[in-house]
Amino acid sequence: MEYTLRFREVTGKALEEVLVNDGSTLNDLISALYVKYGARFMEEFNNPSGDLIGGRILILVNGDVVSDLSIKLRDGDKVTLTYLTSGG
Amino acid sequence: MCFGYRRRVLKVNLSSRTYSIDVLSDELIKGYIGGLGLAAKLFYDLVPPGVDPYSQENVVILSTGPVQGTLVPGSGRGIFASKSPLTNRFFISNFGGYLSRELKRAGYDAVVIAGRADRPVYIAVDDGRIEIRDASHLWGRTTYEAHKIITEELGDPKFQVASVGPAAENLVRFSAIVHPTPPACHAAGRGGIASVMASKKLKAIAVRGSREVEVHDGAAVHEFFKEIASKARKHPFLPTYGTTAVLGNVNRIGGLGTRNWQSEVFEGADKIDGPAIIPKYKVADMSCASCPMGCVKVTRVTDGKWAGTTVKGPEYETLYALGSMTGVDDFGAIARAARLCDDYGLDTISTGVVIAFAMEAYERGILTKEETEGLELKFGNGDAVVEMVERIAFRKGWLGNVLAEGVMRASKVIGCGSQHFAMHFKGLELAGHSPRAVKAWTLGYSVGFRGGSHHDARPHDIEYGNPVEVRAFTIDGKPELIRDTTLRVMIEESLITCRFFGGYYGIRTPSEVHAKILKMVTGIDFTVQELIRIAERIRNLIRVIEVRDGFSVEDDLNAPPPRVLYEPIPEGTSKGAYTAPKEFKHMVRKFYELMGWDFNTGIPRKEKLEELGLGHLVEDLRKLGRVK
Repeated sequence: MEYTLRFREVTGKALEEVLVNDGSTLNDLISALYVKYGARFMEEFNNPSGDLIGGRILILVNGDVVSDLSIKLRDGDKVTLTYLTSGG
Repeated sequence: MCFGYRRRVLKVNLSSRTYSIDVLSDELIKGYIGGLGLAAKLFYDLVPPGVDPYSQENVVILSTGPVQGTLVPGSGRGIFASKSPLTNRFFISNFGGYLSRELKRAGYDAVVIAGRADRPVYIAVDDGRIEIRDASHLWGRTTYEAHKIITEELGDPKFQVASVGPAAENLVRFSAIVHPTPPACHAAGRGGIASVMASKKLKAIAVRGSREVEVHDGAAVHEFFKEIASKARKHPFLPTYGTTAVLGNVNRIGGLGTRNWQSEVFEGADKIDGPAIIPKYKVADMSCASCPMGCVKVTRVTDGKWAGTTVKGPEYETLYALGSMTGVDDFGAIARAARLCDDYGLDTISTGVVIAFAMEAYERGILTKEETEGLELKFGNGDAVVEMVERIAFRKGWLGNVLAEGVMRASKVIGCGSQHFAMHFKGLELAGHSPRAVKAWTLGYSVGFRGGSHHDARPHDIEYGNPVEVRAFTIDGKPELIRDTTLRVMIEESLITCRFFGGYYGIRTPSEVHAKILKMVTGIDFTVQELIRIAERIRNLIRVIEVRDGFSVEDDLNAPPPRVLYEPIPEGTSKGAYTAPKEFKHMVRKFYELMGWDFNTGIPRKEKLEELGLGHLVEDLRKLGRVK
């Protein structure tokens, strides 16, 4: 797992290895992180900042944006939790 | 009664040292809103086609919209407009801070500066009192020094100052107008309008105003501020990291211009990304007028050779241009180079891109050590970047003088195939959003009136949230996306509201929220359809300005650098992405069709102009021989 920006504040780390069962989906992984990091993580995940479009949460798998949480993870996948950083 | 506006345009003629005040008409307000729309209309009426940007006939316009001086969140923006010496086209540069609010409080919607003074001057606007004051003692001073001296001699630090620096005085084509708000500053950086100011011997404009701007429904504006502020303060990264947070993600998706766009993955990104630099170096949080978000960060270098350097940001675009583009991951060197750009008045984007271009030319053996006067101009050499900023600002040596012309002109002088990697669109150095990893940007930059600006269309606001297959490997829907975001930008730039509130106000097309803001502030009811029509009117007027100046569809088709059209990204998440010439041409054709422009000539169709109430422009073009 790679945590960026506020996810880094919530989890207290930038990187960590997470073990999941064979055949686990992205949804399974997020659920496991809910349990591990609790309410603040859930709050961040579910409602980052009202109806903000530009700062919505992005999940990257190996650098690419994924919106389908049912995809199966493979050994060694790098999952990043971040936000749509559209500024600049 | 129409609220939000002052209905006064101040016109200053520096040649005759006189000024006059024009009334801002209902027709102009309802047809063009303000900001960009107002500037484009004033420019069309005042500047004849074909003039040299440095001639007396060119003007510099400082423009505001209806929301400046009000509580509307993100309204601390203003616009400088002129004909750009980089692109030879009508150009605007949008900036933050407090100057635009102060201008409205002083009683003006815009200032138009024409002619040329016989010696250096600055303009002081103090409510109704207008002075053209001697600036001989300020010539050669940095922007921060000019700000300090001017506020001291006017006797009040509340004067808001926009100043040019030595770079503009040396007619560096990408010099920036800097608006210091110590310890930070804001810049109308792009397009070299500062050098147009300096060509008029105008060092600065200083403004103080004392009267609040009246709005139609103050209670509604107040409620709106509270609603947006509660969300903006919870924004997941801008209040904490400012735009520095953008860099890491752009790198992750494989779209960060690196070593002059030879790659789009920077191995040093983790060292200069927001989470690395803000906790370590930040010394102050600041904001623009009426901003509850506060994305302005001030950092101070505490270690290494450049310890003690204090700088605003650096913003994402600066970290890209002076960092990944030059292969430099030493924050101290980037901060030092950025601070020098602010002091001397240089656009950090163009400065970084021309230095990166020279570095590639040097590494390829096109530039010799003799031509660099002994400088080891290799990627990753932070000291060389700092040195080149000095040389460019003062046009020192052969190379400094050549690069001060911008990358398009420099590549023509240097030759030897270097035009292949001169990274500009229409003469404007490329901003930090990839035209390969975000394919829509190849179209957006090419049909934008500014060229390589990340503000003409804004497809990345949407495309960064899409998978690589959508953003980098298909052209489906891209012309429609660019049409929509172009129209949205026309309204944002005319209101004028900050990009970072786009998440609340709309990021694709003109929206109900834009209409709501206009209603609360001005009292005028605009439907979204009417706003779309106004946006089209503004873009078509600018298109006619381009046509009047001799530009055609060929200039759009020839806009992308060869690297974008022929070199796939070599690594990273977006590996393999580029914009093939055939698909690019297809996108341009479709965009023209959507805009009502003739693909054979690039001219808006007569019926389109008539539909927008611009039918009279056809006659203007006929007189110039542009249409039969």
